[in-house]
Amino acid sequence: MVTSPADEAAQAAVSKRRSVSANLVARFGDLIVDNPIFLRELRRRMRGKALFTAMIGYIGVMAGVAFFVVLVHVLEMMRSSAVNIMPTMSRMSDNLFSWIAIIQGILVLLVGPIITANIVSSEKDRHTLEFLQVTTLRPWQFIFGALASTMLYILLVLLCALPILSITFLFGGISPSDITASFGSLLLLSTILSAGALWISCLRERARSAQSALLFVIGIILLNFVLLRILTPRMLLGGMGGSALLPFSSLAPGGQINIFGQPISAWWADIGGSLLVIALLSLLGSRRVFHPLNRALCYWEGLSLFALAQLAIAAQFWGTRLTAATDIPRIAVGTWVLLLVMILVFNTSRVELGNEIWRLKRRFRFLRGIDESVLQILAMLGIWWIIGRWWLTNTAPYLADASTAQGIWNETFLFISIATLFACALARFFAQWASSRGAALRWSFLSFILLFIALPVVIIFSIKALDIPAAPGEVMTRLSLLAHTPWVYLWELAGDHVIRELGGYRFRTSANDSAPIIWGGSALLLFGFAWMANRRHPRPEYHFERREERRISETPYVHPEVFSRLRAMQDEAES
Amino acid sequence: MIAIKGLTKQYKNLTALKDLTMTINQGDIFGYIGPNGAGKTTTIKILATLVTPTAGHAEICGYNILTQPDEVKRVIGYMPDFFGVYDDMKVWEYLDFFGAAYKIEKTKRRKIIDDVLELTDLTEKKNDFVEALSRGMKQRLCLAKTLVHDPQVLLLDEPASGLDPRARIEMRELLKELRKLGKTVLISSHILTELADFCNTIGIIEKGELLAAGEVNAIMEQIKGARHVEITIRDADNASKAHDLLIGHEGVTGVQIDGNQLMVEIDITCEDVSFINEVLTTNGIRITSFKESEVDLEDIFMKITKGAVQ
Repeated sequence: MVTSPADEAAQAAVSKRRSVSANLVARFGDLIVDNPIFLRELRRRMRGKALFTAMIGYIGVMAGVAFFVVLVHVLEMMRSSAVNIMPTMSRMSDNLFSWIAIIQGILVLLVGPIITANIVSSEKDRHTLEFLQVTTLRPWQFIFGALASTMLYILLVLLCALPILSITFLFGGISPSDITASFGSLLLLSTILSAGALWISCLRERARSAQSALLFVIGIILLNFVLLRILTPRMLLGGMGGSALLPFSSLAPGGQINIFGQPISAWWADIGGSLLVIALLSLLGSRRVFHPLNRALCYWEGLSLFALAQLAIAAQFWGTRLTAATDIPRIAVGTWVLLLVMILVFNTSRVELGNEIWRLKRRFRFLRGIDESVLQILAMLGIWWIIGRWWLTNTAPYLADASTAQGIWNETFLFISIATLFACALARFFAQWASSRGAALRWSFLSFILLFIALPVVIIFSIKALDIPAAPGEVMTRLSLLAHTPWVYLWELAGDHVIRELGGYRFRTSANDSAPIIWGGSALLLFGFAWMANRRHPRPEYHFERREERRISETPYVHPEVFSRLRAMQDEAES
Repeated sequence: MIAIKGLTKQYKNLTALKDLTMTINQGDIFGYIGPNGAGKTTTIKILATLVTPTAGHAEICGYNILTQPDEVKRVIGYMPDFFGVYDDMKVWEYLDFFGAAYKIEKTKRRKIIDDVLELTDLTEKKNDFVEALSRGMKQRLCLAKTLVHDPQVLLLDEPASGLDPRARIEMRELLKELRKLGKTVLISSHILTELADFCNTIGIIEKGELLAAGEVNAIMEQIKGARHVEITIRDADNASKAHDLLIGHEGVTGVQIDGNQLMVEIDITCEDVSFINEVLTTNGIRITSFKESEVDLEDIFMKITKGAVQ
């Protein structure tokens, strides 16, 4: 058979695609099978009698519980005079499933985090972490290996109860999909808590990291019991969860949520939200696992996370979800808080050689004079502007009245940008003046709370108590420094009083004459802080320039001070 | 091979390392000497990419420690002064673990493990648990782990600390083997005799500052500015006569008498010292021993350092 060149090219393309996919599969296989942490943990856990004994004990407890539940219901049936026993049988099936799910839940939610936290803390206690740091093993591979080995163990724990759970099929009422949903939810939740525990244990430099992680997990579980349906992964995608212990809406099938205006199944929302949380916690953990003193995120990770958060906001309030243009500042509060968190993360540390900004500065001479945290903040504001504008043009208020929506968006962006730069300068100031990074973080955090939350709230309540008309312009003239904090405006805008009073309100119309004073004062303060920060911290020594080598085997080096010391010794001996 | 340029490390109010600049050639065995707290471990940790410098940078095999840490990790083998091991693993599993961490292909790992076990004389212990090994064996296992990815540069921070004399000698022999393999080694220690044997270059550091670096003899020449010859004469009464004969001779800068022993200081530019023997014997002074005093690492160390710690 003769094949044409076109067929050959098509075949080559197919085989290339296959080889690429086969290569990807092989690499993913290597990632798991040849991950040293994964292998070591499996070997360690599966070796000896410990696992066997634990599993026998666990199955024994489960069988005991199942026996007890069945016994109670059988006794009830024997006492009852009802002819139709099917309702009791169905109730027995439900109870059996619930009890086993609860026991499994408690066990799995505690065991997973304890194991993962212990993996990190044992490395620290044994002083073996340094060895791993100098290998080419990436921190994320460590996290992946630790999580994957733990999840395999958790899966084993869940599957061991399957024979006991299958008793419920005899009596009806429980379907295989219920068991799949229960197992899936527990596995996802356990992975989230394990990733959280891993991150917490990475934060501590030395031992006791496992205890901290355990406290964190217990805290989360208890908090979830108290604040039902609050701490759920689906919050990220705009939904709410199910129950306290199993906060997944997928347990109640048929639910849907809207993402970018498209309805998607609650199952996918649960899984997607969980994976996002796991990825975020793993990222945070991998930043600190080898270097506990590292910043929580590196620059590009911070930017990616910020962009992701903006996309999440856009996904939630896409199309008709945004009902009024006056809601724009209220939604922007989330971004403002995120910007403050980013400032705390990035602006409270000093110059670090070798990071991404250092590399940029090394490459582009014109960037060397600009503070690295300012570069980061400007990049985040740029991302916000691009994604925010894109989102805005796809919302109902914009499509109804573009100029009003655009005006409110512009003003909100401007005010928050000014406040962000102000906060950035403040954090930079503390970073240079405080004795350590921790102190700078604490001072910045306290000042943010004081300036942007506590004082505005007190003042606004005072104004309201004194029954002073709360127009933003008046607030500004009275409060000078604090008046420019967007929190004040957003608070006022969010209140019915102002919105009702001002109707088609726009910032600039109210800001009127005091605007130049506010802007001038903000700029002055900004530069004042920046100047003080620079004054204390001399220009960082980046060492970009090439230095001469000192070849010691060709020309020995002796410090000049050594000669003078020897001369002094000789003089002393002679005298 | 190791080019350090202006390396500085500042911890709050403490300068652990101050503008360290030096280049160590390929194949050199560099002994890094200094009192406790001098900055040896900080230097090694910075080179091993474990600690970020406050200023300056270094290149190992042409790779920058700041911009190419992954490449640096591939070419270095690091052994810290204090370390732990995974007790619940077998010796081969331990090495296999690090082989996987260095992304060595699974098929090649078995052969490499056998090789490094043979080099470190641990072949018989291959299937034993790590916890069953003695301290010296654990130290050798740690060195085996350091060699598993065949690094070109070894950064060894006090590799023989805490070992008994026998294990110390075994470790020294192992390091000599590594020298034969052509590895570049930076080894820190404050036991000078340990280094004197096999280091061709040394660096002395104190309070974070490099005081001297280079070949031992070359440093000594720079410091002393003279060579020394120790002579023992048969008759102590002739000592003053010998002193008078030598002191006026060209090239001799000083003579000290101690009983029947003379310490003759000769100008560093003077290459041939046999004239001393000639002058003394032709004048009837009988010599029982004649030797040029060897350069002593301890002597250099004591001369250069003040004994101050940070």
